[in-house]
Amino acid sequence: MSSRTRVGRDFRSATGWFVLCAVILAGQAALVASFATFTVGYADAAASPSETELPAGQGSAVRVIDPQARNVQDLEEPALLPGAPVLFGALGERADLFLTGEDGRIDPGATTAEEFTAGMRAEDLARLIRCLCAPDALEDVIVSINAAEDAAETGRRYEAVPVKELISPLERSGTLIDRLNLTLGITVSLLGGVVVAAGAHRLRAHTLRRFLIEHLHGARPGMLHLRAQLVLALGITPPLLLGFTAGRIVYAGADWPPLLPAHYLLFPALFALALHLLIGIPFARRISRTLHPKGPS
Amino acid sequence: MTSALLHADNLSHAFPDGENTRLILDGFSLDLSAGEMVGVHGPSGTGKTTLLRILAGLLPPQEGTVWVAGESLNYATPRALARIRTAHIGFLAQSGDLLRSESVAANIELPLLFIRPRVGQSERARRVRAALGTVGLGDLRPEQNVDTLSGGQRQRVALARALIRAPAILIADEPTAALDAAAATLLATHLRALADAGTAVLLASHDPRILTPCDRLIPLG
Ligand SMILES: Nc1ncnc2c1ncn2[C@@H]1O[C@H](COP(=O)(O)OP(=O)(O)O)[C@@H](O)[C@H]1O
Ligand SMILES: [Mg+2]
Repeated sequence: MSSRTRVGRDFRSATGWFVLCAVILAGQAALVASFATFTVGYADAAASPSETELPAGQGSAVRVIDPQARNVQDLEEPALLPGAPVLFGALGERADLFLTGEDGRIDPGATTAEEFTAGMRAEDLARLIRCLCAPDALEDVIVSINAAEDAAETGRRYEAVPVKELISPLERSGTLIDRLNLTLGITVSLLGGVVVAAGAHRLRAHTLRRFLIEHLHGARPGMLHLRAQLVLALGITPPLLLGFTAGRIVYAGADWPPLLPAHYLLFPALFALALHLLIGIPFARRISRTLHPKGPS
Repeated sequence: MTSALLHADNLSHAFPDGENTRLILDGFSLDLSAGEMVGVHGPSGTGKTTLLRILAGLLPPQEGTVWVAGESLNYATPRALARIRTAHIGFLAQSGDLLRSESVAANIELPLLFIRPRVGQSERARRVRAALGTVGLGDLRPEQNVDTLSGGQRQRVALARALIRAPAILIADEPTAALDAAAATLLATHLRALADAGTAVLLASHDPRILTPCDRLIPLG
């Protein structure tokens, strides 16, 4: 089939545009991710829609019940919290690696929470006490910590709760930096959208002209339609995948990894499908009109 | 039915014009035989392009009938139309309609890509060189980008493309519109030679430089 090589040619002639799309999508993903790190990360967990929609037991957290009412989650400012537990093996590693149940290690040498904590700030604690697991997966960890706290007679107790019940007043959305972040994100998204739309417009004109010429010289309309949809699919999926991957990488490096719902890959797939239909259907109509201009019959 | 390669009978065509419709063609008939060069002429907007598109199977006739090499276009499927065009018709449009930023060879071999069984790469290259020779561009490099050519050269590349399948019928829509005097005369010479060699040539124009060599002129409008 020569249509295979023709698809390749269509795609190559559009490559610059596709690369631009990928770069813009990746940039937007990165911005959204950093924005999310600031807001979602420190915001009220229950208010975050992606988390409230989690299947039951998907996300959990350790709640600190502090007899001195120094509940870490009520702290306005990051502060030193001597005595709070640190649930990790080595500094700098991410909490969700350690609190998943299978790997919920505590420093085996430490006997009390004080020994676990040495200079942790509320911010770090808040970051560390989440995990993407069911509450009972944290049970062993909780038991060991509470045993340690009991032994030290601190009166402090810990319990594992689903993330929905967690209320975090370390809410930072609404601050200047977040507004700036949001404004920047929206501006870049809009500008990116304009650039992509302009590129798509030119590309469409170019493709329509090309199809018309090929039609004049014998190309069958059906093959041209097929080619258009193939190139569209090729043009949507890779940039989307790149953007999504870039977003994931940024998230992974972020302080607070937001919890992703199960089957989260379904979302970019559905988004790609929706985008394809949104562009593909009018494009197919446009091709038909270009190839067969009709007056009233 | 006649022995004509292209036969049109009582064609009428209307386009929307605001609230109303505007009749562009009204009972047009034509017989075109091998070796004939026929010119349709008339001012802009009289329906020349519309007529040629109908005759080339690119626009379904609203009223009337068209036969190409004995096959009716009226009830042909899009697939059948594509086949008929591929088999019998070469099309040369006003501004050449080349694929921009592509090579001379890529442009000329385009119609060969839609033929089954496939024409191999070396055979395509051979035919491209032959077609370039026919239109007097034998010393042009096939890999040259068409954007670097002059208007006259481009139109002759487009002619080479229209001729690459050695069509029995060549349909040309204002082929000299974008050409200077020398290039227009040269193109007219090529078309006349083609007709003399047995191709049925139908062109639309209001340019005397290309209407003069025609065997027959049909006024429109
Ligand atoms: N697809 C279309 N829809 C509506 N009007 C059209 C369409 N194509 C052509 N026309 C009108 O039909 C008339 C004849 O057009 P055309 O065949 O291009 O004439 P010519 O080639 O002689 O200049 C023009 O007035 C043009 O505006
Ligand atoms: Mg015209």
